[in-house]
Amino acid sequence: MTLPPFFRVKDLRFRYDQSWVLDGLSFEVREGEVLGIIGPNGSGKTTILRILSRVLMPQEGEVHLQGKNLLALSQKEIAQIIGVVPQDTYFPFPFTVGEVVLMGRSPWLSGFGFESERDLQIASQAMTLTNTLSFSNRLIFELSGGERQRVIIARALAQRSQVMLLDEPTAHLDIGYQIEIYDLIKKLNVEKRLTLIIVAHDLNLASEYCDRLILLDTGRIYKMGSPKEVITEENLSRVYQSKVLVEENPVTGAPRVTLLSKLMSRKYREKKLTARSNRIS
Amino acid sequence: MKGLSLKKWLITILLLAILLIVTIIFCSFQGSADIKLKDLLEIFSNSPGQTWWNTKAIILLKVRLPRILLACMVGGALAVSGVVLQALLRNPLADPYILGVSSGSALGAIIAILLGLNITIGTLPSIPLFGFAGGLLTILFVYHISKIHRKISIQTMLLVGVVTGAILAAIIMFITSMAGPHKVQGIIFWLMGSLSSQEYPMVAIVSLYVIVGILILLYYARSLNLLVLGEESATQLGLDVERTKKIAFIGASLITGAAVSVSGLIGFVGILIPHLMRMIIGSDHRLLLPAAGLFGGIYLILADTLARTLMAPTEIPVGVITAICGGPFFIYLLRKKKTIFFH
Repeated sequence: MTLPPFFRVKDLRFRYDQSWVLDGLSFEVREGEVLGIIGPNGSGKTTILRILSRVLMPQEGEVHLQGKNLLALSQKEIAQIIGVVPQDTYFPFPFTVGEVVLMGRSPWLSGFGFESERDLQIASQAMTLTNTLSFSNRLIFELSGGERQRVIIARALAQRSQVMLLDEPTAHLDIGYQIEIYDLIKKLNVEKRLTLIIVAHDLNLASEYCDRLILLDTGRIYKMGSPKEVITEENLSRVYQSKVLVEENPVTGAPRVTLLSKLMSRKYREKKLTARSNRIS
Repeated sequence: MKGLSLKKWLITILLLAILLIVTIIFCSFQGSADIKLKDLLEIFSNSPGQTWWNTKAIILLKVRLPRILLACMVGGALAVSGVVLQALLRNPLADPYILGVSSGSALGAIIAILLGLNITIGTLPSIPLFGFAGGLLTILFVYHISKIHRKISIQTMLLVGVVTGAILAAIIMFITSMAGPHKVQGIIFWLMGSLSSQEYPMVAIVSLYVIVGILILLYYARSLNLLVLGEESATQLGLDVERTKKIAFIGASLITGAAVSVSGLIGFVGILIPHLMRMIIGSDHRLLLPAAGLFGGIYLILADTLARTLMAPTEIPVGVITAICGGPFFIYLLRKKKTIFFH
């Protein structure tokens, strides 16, 4: 018996006002996989996450979650299955780290609702996994960007969701934190069988960590497949309208992208030329 | 890790409630007429009839007590409204008067003063009735203008509220400039805010109204926590965002309208108390909201007691006291706990 796909998206079309932002998308997300969504700015990456978490409703097409139409579920039921990690969260008021993580329990609470012992336990576990338990009493905006993002991931874990949608989770972080966050979510994927859908800005991170990639181009799927199939010089130069060099990462074997600036490559050519002419003379 | 337990919640609320009762009793015995605690025993043990009994009992029970109870309700309403609107607008600068409801109430009351109207419902006087009607109309207006595709846009609501308030304030200014000198004095005194001269029926109605309003908002306190994260995150955590916004806006506006109708524009309580309580007990609205309500009551009772006793028999406008006592303290706290505000 084969399980139905986790998500089944069929002929999805969405527009905010005039033009279609998503123009006929169909894809499936399998349970336990890491799916990356890449594409240039404005290609509709974030909009897909908003539709999958039903913040937005598509004008055409259907989304099925574990075999059920997304429209038939309540917002609470959806939040019990799907956790979302946004790019960055602005906190206007001084909440503590513990309070923020406990908010992840709200899909399971109702009304005024105090958290039970079990809720506290689940939140503690989520904080242990993300290595945030030690600062549970600190205020959320006393933390660095990387620490804060780990707290938001802990909040999504506390939802006890089966899939996590991440929207450029490392957009504002330096390289050390980028690796830390990606290692963390990959670990959750392997150990907790958490399905991940990541909107990624950084092509190299997407290539390293994702099982499958969707390359979007102006609201359509340009290419879908393994990183090796998607991250090619031809695909990227077409969609991003710029020159890139794709080679194999010598450590992991995943495709590695190097951006080539028109200006710098000309400089390089000129240098090479002068070097050669010197040798000749 | 600790969460908000029922025990912590009950202890905090109980302590503040006791503090409120102590404040009410203490302030009942402050004032130009010298009434001591022992007089209270005599008032209740002696039978009515003697002159001294009458004077003291009347001052205590018919002048001071209704005024103190009204201060408690108005202070509580403004503080809770401030907490709710700051969460709804995700803005630490928000206060109960930001969405124009107060200006609507003020305009209603001023029209009643100007026309010298004497339309009453039962024993309720016309000025608060007109004030409340003005507030209600403003709420409806702001609410409907802010709705785009059946959803309230918070940004639009904030702008519409501020602009509506400005328009109403201009009309108030115009009316004031056209009114005769006698009426102008009445209008200005009303605008400055005062808790005197309301009788029990009015106090009772305002109390019932404010308490019910606060209880409804309290039920949504956990939802307000989520709303602070922003609408998108709140939705993704399973919250019915549209309903929460609607209840937060209408609830906070209605109790503000009620408070303003009976007391005028008393400033500072609605922005000071929410921040003060957040510094002391944190941002969890399940505790913050009721605590701010109780402390707002305590604060306004104390401020009003100072207002009527400091320069007795002359009364200082209570808004002057709330700002002069609260403002410097607030700035001191800002300097001391910088991280809470600047990040």
